[in-house]
Amino acid sequence: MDKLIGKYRLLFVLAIFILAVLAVTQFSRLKVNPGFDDYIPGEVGNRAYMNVLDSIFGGNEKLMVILTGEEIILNQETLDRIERLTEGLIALDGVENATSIKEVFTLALVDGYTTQIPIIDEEQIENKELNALKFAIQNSEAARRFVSADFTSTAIIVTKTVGAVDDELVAGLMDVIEENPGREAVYIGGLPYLRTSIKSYINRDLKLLLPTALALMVLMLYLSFREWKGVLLPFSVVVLSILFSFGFMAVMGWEISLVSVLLPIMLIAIANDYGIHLINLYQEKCRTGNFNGMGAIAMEIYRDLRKPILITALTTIGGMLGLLTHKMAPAAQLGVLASLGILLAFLMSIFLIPVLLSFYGKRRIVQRKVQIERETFINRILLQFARWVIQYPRRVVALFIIIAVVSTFGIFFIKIDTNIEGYFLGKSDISKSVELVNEKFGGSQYVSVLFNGDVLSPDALGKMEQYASAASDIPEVGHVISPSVFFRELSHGLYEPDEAGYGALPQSNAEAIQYLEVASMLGFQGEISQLVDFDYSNARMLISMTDGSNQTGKKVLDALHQITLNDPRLVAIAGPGLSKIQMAEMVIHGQIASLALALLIILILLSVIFKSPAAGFKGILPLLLSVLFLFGVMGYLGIALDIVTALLSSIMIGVGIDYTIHFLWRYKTEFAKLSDNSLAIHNTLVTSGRGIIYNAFSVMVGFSVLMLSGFAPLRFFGVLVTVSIFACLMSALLLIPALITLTNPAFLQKQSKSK
Amino acid sequence: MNRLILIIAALLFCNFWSLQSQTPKELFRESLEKIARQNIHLEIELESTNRRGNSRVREMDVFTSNIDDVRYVKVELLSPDEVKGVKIVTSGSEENRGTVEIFMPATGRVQRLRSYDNPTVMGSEIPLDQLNFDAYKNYGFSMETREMLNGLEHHKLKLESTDDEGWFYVWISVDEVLLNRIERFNAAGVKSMVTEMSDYHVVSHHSGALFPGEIQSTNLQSNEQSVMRIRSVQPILNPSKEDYTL
Repeated sequence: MDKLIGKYRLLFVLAIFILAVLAVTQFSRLKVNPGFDDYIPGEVGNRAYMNVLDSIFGGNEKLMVILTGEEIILNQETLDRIERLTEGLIALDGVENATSIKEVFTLALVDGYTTQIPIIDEEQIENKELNALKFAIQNSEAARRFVSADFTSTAIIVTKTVGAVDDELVAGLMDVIEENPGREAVYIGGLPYLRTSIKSYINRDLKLLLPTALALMVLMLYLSFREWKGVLLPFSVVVLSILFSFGFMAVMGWEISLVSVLLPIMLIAIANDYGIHLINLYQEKCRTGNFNGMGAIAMEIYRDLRKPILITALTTIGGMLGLLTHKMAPAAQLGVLASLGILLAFLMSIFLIPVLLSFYGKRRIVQRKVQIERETFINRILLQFARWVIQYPRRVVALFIIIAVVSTFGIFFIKIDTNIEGYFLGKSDISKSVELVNEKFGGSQYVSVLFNGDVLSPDALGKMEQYASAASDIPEVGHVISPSVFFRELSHGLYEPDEAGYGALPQSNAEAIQYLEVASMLGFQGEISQLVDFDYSNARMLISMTDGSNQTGKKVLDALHQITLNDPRLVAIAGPGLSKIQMAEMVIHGQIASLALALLIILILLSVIFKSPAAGFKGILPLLLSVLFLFGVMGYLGIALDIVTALLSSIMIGVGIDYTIHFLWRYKTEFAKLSDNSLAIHNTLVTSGRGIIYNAFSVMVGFSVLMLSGFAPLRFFGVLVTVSIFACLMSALLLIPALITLTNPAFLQKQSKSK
Repeated sequence: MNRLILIIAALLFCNFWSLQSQTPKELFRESLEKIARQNIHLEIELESTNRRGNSRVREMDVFTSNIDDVRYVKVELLSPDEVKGVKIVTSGSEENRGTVEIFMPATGRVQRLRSYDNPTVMGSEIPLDQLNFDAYKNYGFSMETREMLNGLEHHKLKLESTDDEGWFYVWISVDEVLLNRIERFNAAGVKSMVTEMSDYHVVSHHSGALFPGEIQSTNLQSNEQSVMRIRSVQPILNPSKEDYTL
């Protein structure tokens, strides 16, 4: 360090500057991936079946363009607009098909001819005979998919081509809508649109949250130190660690996802702590020490703080590394990136900050009245804490046990939800479109029930008929589209109502295929290709879910498995909306594994630091209680465990353990000096306790910026991280001293006894 | 199935083309006159491939005749077994325009179909009921250029609708005056359909008329493809309306 400061400081600063520039040059390689489906293994489960479905039936993802207004949409002006919009949509690249109510037909024998009759009768519209038209729509399964029950909204259903790019497709949709104005409000629904929206929200979040968090940090640093180098140096470390982490992300080819938004916020909240400790000590040395120059002070703070900062950095990294157990790549990547960022922040804090300090001349430090007043207030609280833990340690421990028990019950209410529809809050267009799609159009997320074999045999079609009927009775099901329903409707065009074949299913495989030939000649190729494959060896039923939540998906999936139980023709039940169930399993696995790994790492680190396994076990107690409290709060408040909130416990452990370490470390020193438990606890609380509180609040403030996010999971994360850090803080300041009072742990006291 | 009818019809519609005497038009007429389009019986293997690359093959007999200036087409499916015996008849008569009759052996019934949307020609979106000269009399013919196609020099003609419905490019070989390629562009100027005819053979007992051995048609919008392989072409010597009755 002497040489670094004395000889190579310019070279060192220049090297870091060049590395930072290199990191920034990599940013152009960063791409945003809004969804998590790509991170689900494609070889098994829903994703694998989706690949099979895509290869047989083509695009499975649907978009909805919804026209809605106060009045009913059955008027010529709206219908003309629907026609223009549909034509525009069909012409778009990436659109496999687009259909509206205008393409819905009924079949009938008219004068001996099989005739397609459009459900929208222009004459009825012109003559305003709307009741007959409404009746016809209400009685047509196909028409009900396009018109809401109150007739105020209508949908154009767009099938996305496999491999089409979401952004380009949605941009095309927007253009078509803009080119065809009208009095109805137009909303877009469906997973591709949601993914595109998430992408733009991620960009918005990064542009809003990062500067806000940095500004907040600058403010906090200035208020704390009242000198600009106290702001500039920790700020530089944080900014550099963010640049290097994102540069590394780009080099690795990792994509920016929703969870990546957490990275800079985490680094701002956590990584400036090391710099704060260094600047704090520097100011203290300036006030009290007798040094010849800044180089000497820089050396001194480096020597004094490198070890404690190393320990806290290691424990924080330990917690973050717990994220590596997540099967979802973005979560594991966040573990790597956060660990790297914290490691770099640690290294730059202990090397770069002293080097940069050495460039300054020695300055007078301003003491502030405000600070003294605040310290007095915090001291009062800490003195109260000291009284409680020394006089009533059992009550304090009992209180924590009660909280733990109550929290444990809350865990049973935790929901798992990986549905991206839930990412959006409030009255945004996206929320409105999700609401419209789910409430008025039976949802945009379809599940396919795929059959293989003699799928057009009377037995197979009969079974599909039963399944369709049973599926319609599932409350969470919106629409059911089945080959059997298609054949029955087709028969209306082949037979007179008094003939036996009217409304009946084909009586042989050959008859079914010949029916399809007729349907194909009538222009129903699009409908047929959605239900039966080209060589008639695969068929599927399409079932929409009334919303995109995990619970709905799970219920529908379970019910469909039950309905189709033991059917030898059943190949798979899968759909774009069901990947979230696979994802939820990964989230649960990741949550449990990451929690276990983070606790294990911390246990080992504490055991090594305090040279006692007992220290490890006692040290993780506050973390366990905080984890219970966190999950309890989530359960009682109905905050779902999702891909973002599942990261919380590891991060909380990594950050929250510092407070316990700080307390134990200081207590050990105090006890070594005083050999009195109560006095050691009192002194520890009123000295280190203050620093611990500042530290915790700076982290809470840093993370609280997430409450400004456009995403519900990130907002909840911001709230929950504040709650959980507060729980860690209280555990460190109340539970740990109370336990020390009750147990007099040898690992904290043996050193003094031996002395 | 209707794809086949459309392909046949596409070939037949050329029969109604104007006989006006402008040079590109004459060239086009000459290329059409070389093809046997009436009173023939075709044995065909039709391979259809959908946009997802799945294919199916069907064998069929196709009969087409011109009786009393009315065009008749009959298709009888020979394989696979599920559709064997299905017969489809369509005619250009005034009373039957826009209708198709289909015999389904599985039910033993003849079904008469009236399509709400008129069937179109080979994805060209030209309604079948417009397959007569009157529908095309407003097309403008122009010579575009000469260019090489499959190693042979071709005339490239443009057939343009004056109703802004799009246009065709057709390629006619310079040496043999054979129609080898048709490209269809829609009103937006987007190429929507490509049809290639190749492997021309002489039809026996048909005044030296030729017929392509293979017709390949690709719909660029739906990304579907049909390859029609003509195994044999026989003349129909005494056609009658009864032959086209189910």
